[in-house]
Amino acid sequence: MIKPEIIRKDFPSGFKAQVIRRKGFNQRFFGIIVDFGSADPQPVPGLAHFLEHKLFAAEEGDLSLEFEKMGASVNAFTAFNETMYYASGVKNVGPMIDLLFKLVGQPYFTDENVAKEIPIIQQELAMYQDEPDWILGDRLLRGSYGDCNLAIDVAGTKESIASVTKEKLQAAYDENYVAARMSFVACGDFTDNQVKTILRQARKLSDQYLKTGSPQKESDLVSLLASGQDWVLPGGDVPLFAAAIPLPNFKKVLASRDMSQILLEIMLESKLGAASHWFASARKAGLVSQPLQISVTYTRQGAYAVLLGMSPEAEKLLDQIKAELAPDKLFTADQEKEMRQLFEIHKRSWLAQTVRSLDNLSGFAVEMAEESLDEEDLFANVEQMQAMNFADYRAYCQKLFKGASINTARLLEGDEE
Amino acid sequence: MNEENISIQSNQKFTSGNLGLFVRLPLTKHNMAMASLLCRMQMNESELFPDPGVQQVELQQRYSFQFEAVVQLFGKEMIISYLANFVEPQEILDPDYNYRQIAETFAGLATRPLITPSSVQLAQRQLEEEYQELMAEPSNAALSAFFNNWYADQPDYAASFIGSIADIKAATSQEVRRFADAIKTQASCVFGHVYDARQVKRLLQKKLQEESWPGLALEFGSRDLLIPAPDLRLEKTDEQGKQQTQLLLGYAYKGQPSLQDLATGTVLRQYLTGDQSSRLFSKVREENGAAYAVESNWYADNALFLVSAGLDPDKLDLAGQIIGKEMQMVAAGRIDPGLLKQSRQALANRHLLNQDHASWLLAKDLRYKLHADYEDFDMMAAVSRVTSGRLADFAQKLYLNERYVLK
Repeated sequence: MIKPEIIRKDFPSGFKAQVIRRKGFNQRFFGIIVDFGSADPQPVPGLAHFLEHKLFAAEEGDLSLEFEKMGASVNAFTAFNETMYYASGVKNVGPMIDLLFKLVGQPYFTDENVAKEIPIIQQELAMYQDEPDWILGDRLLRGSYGDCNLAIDVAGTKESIASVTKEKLQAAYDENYVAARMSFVACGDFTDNQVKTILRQARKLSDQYLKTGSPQKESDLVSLLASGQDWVLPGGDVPLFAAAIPLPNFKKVLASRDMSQILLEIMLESKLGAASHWFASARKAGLVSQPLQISVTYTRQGAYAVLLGMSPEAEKLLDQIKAELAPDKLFTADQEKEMRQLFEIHKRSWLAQTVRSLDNLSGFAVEMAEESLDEEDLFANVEQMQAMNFADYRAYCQKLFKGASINTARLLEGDEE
Repeated sequence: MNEENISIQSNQKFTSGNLGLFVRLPLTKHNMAMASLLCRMQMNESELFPDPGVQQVELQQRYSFQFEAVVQLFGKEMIISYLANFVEPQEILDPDYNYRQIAETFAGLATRPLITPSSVQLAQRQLEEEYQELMAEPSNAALSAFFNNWYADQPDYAASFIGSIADIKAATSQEVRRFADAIKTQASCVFGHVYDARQVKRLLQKKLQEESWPGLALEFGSRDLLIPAPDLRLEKTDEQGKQQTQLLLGYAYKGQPSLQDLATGTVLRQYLTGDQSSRLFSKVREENGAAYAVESNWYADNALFLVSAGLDPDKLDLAGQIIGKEMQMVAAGRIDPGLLKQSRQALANRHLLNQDHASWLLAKDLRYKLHADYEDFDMMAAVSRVTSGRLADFAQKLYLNERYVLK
């Protein structure tokens, strides 16, 4: 695998910067990531996301328009523990970086512009809520963890969005948008001189705009409200089901939380994925026809796996999933041959995905920015994974999954509850 | 085999290679349903890997070889696209993983479907579920209903998404076999972007000759794709009880769009909804908080310019008025010159950025090959020629033909 060249700098303020060189690409991508997201402490749910929207406001108007005038596009996203602002284009590199730092470094909150944003974000939330699987995810997370920031939609609730004020935004900004909680990334086909210039500019602008402050603290894990719970939700047009598996603290098992996430995804894919015997049996029995969507998420507040799928007999299928994931069934002797084979295949597949990710400049830059905040090293993980043997993988998975319980939710067709 | 129907270009910057085999056939309700069914079956299993689990394992063994079979619509014609994305062997340096294996895998998956009653039934179940899930999303349900109205008198063209689910469910393995045999004789072409183009072309030519695919000898391009817009002047509202209201405004284009119109419609799309400076984005979202997003699409082969938004139900009429007024202003030549210039520039930039995406390059190859009249057409040059006058002339040929609302 040909590793791209990455030049990293850590500045005295705690601000970090990295430039990733990808030869031959037209796109120049720049991003600033902040170690603060929707699951972190904040006075009302959705405030981090609201902040993301409102930082585009400047005294002279919407900064998006300034980016667009220089031929660049700009956007942002909020995740559980981070918010990222990014711009890309083919030219005007210097002005684009200037404007990106201004965007994150010079907030302009007024009663009027906050009030104007409320209905827009409420419509964003309404759009998500109209998606058929939203209700399942909402019930599972709120049922498992209660009405905490980890469980509530990234955008908040209709009520919490309406309660946002400029004072709340400013307080959250002052606490979290500090140099030690932020990191810059650039990605593109840059010359040696451009790399140096970009890093100098990042240092100068971070000193100009960002206050000093302390790095983000580790958070207490959110305690579980329910385990082994099954919810049946009314009114679905589609026989969707989901299962959430809250997981213990990854850090206690492996230094890399990314690695823990990947190992568990491989295990769940091997047990229940499209290539597994379990899936073939369920398919032949008519319980499922399309592969389950399997994902593992980790945050400072807790980690969990989610399985999502469709079945005409969801209750029966969920019982089978629970049986398959019972602690004594994770690595049984009769499944060992298959689990070994699939482990090797998934290792190979993960290597391939990493190689492929280099073709998606924006996606790769975002991933590297996230890794910078989490102090992860993708390429070290790739090497560790390729060298890992089955016995170690099994031992890690058993520890990571220890004590895990499963909560489920399914939609009942029609209006019956 | 027509040499011109297989074109593999050298790619030196991507870590993964892309291949596509494209088959053109007339768009009919029956063809759409059969093609969706066959594509789904081929993504599950094949004669090469005769079980869904086996196919999964074998593709992942090949460094997560990605294979997709999808149906795309271009006016009166439909294209079955067999697409492969694979990690370039030079990135892996595994002697067992090479272009020969890649060419054999791609050709085998695309040309040798496994057609049995059980493979048909599995794909039917999957498509039925997928259809249910798609239609549960209000924006999809609204789009589907919109096209059903638009082509109410021409049901062969009404299929959006996967086609008639009733026809899919009724299909037998014999019918699918007949369809699969028939598509081999339809005009086909192959495109690719890979590191070693010469080697891959040679290997693919050999494999496709062995598989016998006579359609590769036929002329692929067409000069008769346009479906003229029906005269509807329709307003319709359906209710589903969702949080957002979907508004779709379909503007029909009078006559046959020229190549320049193709570019002008694209500029109009950018001017109205392309980014955050665009007219409708700023009016509907920023000034009135009526929507999170507003979109437009220019279906030149369907003579349709479509504006759509998911709206706050209380602001449906307001948003409708804003969109209608903006369209009228463009037609009247009341166009913001700065924004028009910015829109052209944004499209030029996007054109450069798109070249960083191998899948876009493949899609462009297909569009140019299919539209026989595109041969010497320079889209970016045409975009640069779009003036306020041209934009106004274009908008004057548009009229509101269908207003569809899903509440």
